[in-house]
Amino acid sequence: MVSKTKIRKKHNASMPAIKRWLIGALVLSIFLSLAGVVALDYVVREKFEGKKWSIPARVYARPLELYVSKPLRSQSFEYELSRLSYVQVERLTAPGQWLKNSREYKVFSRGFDFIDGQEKAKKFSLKIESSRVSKLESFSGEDLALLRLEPLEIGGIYPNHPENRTLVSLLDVPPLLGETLIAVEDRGFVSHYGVSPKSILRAALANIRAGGVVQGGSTITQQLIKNFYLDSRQNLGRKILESLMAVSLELHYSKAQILETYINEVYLGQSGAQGIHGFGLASQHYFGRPLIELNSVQIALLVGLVKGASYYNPWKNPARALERRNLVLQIMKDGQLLTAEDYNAAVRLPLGVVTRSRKKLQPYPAFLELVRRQLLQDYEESDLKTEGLAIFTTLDPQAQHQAEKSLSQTLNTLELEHSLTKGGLQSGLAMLALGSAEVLALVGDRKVQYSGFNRAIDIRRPIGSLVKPAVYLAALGEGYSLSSLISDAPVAVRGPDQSVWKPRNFSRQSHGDVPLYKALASSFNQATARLGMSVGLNLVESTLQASGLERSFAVVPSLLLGSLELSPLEVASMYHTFAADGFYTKPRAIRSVQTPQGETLKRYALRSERRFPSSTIYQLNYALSLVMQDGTGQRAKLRNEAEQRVTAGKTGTTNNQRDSWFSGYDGDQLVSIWVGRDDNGITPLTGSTGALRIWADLMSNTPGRSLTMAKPANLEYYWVDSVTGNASGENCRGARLLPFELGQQPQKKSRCEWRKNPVIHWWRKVWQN
Amino acid sequence: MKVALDFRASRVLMLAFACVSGACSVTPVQVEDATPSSVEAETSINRSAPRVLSPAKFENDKAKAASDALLQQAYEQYDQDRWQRAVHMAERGLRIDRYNARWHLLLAKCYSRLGDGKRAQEFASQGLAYAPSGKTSLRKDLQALMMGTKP
Repeated sequence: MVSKTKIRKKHNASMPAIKRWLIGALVLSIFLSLAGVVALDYVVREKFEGKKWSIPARVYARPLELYVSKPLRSQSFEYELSRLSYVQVERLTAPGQWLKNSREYKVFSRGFDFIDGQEKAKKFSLKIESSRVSKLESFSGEDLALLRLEPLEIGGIYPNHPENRTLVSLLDVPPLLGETLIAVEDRGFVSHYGVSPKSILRAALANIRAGGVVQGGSTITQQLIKNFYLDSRQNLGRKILESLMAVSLELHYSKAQILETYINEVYLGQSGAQGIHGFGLASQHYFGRPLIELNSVQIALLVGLVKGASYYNPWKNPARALERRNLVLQIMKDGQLLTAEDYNAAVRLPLGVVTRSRKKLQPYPAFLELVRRQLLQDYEESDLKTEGLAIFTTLDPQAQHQAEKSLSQTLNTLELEHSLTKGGLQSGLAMLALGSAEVLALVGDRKVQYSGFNRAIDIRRPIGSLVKPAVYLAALGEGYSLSSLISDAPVAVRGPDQSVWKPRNFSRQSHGDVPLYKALASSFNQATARLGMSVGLNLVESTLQASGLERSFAVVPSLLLGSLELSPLEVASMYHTFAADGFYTKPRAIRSVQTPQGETLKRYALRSERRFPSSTIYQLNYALSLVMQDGTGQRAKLRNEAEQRVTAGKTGTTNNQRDSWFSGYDGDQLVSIWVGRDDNGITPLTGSTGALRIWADLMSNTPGRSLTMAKPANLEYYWVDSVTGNASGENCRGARLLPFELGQQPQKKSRCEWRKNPVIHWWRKVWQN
Repeated sequence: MKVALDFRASRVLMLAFACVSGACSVTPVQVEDATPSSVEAETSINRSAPRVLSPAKFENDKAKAASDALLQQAYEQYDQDRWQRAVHMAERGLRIDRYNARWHLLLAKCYSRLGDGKRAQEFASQGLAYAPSGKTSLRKDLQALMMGTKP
């Protein structure tokens, strides 16, 4: 028999074991919990203090420079103001506003920190007359020599994950926004420690009274934890985790820091594949305005979206969005953030969001693709997508807009005129600023918003007669002059493979001996081929390379008539060297790259190098201006011009008219255009009837100055006979004024048949002088 | 003698009168152009045609006030040894007024200070192409920079 003592001892022995186990388990639990809390705390701090978001690079257009005599049309100026979201008002009260009295504009500009200094916000008056700025002065009447508006943001380079945001600091946020957020989402924000049982209860009661969700139970801190650290799964364990992390956040960071992060984190909509996060970007997306310029009604709409950006989408569900906005306005009134009078006026207002067509955040896909490629030469793609860099580009929004319009409308017109299948023609266009070779506009597709194949930079099509200026430039450097006679008789060239190449003129007619300038102006193939073979293919090759061509190409006789294949941007680069007095400047789309803090990381500096002597280039440009006066470019009569400006250019047409080209310029800009079919099919278009039409429409709607060039000191003008090339006189029949290098002018005199009575001619000259 | 001179003078006058009166009966001649697609014949020969490069003296009238104001600011930066900033302003100036050789001079000076002699020479060379002719201090400075010496 077991004694009671033994039973008691046995009982006493097992009790301590259970107790020890329980105590051990409790200690372990406490230890694990503490470890968990420490780990959570670490996670919270590490992400909050580290790089919070992958911020895409922001891309900006060129700032509009204003000064007296600048070519500018009223509609272009208003277009620029509209794109910058300047509001037309009755009276200027804040930056971002403008008004018009008769023909004078009054503007309150926003100001911007440029790389070379700050442009402060200011009020100024501007007048435009005859497509030029005629007056620019401050409101105090002081003449302003130079002024620039802030650059337009035109897009970004986005991270792989589909979030987009514009970071704002609390300084950039209207105080009313923060106050409204707190009133709507978390009234106890200022006093709680991350979690607020009172808020949960209050929200529940408010929702029951209102019969709908008017208040959330989660604090702003908890919402931030959910969006920033966790996901949207809802269960008890997740809620506990969220609460612990919220408390940890509140222990380490101030209310201002938490609110600022929330303002930049919260999801507020969608733009295609990109999520719109943060109020900074949402302000642009819905209203096209910077956040600091929003009024109370606009703020109410945005705050209302926090509850459900898709559900309250103002474009898809306007009625619901309006109701939600007005509810927020009610809360603002109840919280004395809005007066009763303002509330009554506000609820009657429409939503006021931008139209759907304006809300695309990537409007210039062809140009942005060029920017991206140029950046990738210097940066890793991951840096571009995540570091929030600011990219300042050369794009001119006015020129881009007009280029897109001219291209798409003219193609439609051409298809109608020639009874072609709608949409069958395609085009690519590159526009450069003369002198700097900055890319002002780039169009890669007739559907201008399409971000697919970029015909401005990626097509490779034979350029046809567009190559001829290089042939004639080579000849001018070898002792030829513009009046040198060359034969336009039929020509046969034997190639290295013994095949015989027999180029023919477009008209199938021969013209005998013709002066060099006429062969170029009329684009005679036979004369050009003969001239090119005479100066040598190697020299033509080196001329093309000196003009800026980086691509390799076959050096064969057909090169002389443009068998080499280029893109519109490459053609523009080549012609820019001709137009810019023989100086080569590599086209660039970027001016500088800065960090989000404004520090300059890289400048894409201007660099020009003389490639051709000024005398030969001047003569070439004279001949190319004759193309527009008398030759294949003469159809390009620019509209909207009291006096036609001087331009220069060249048409190009390939075999069977598969490619229609034109490259031409005035004193300010150069445009190169290709028109054709993607399937390389035949078209009824020549360079003159196709691409030139787009060019003429674009230039008619783009103000610019006449082409002028400094005449080199070793060049003079002489009258020559247009048939024989011999010396002639102004009053002689068939005479033409041409520039010659000194010593190259013709010595032999031609027979002169007077055009007018010489005495009257002399008399008139005396009075003219 | 006086009678002989008078007779000679009157013959000259009569000849002149005959020429003038004869001119009244001369109609302007239509000039044929070899190019079938050319415009109106009389304008196809360039006498004072506005659409070709003009042989008139090159006038650089572009935005002088804006250019001058910016040039002054740019030289303030240059004088404070902020050459990169001055370069940026000079490029801005060239966008406004691309034939103004003073911008090329400033760029050449900046790049010379920044140690990029090649680029300095390139801009000096370009400036010389646009600088007014004659023995000006502008040309003298550009020539010095093109030779690689300080002006």
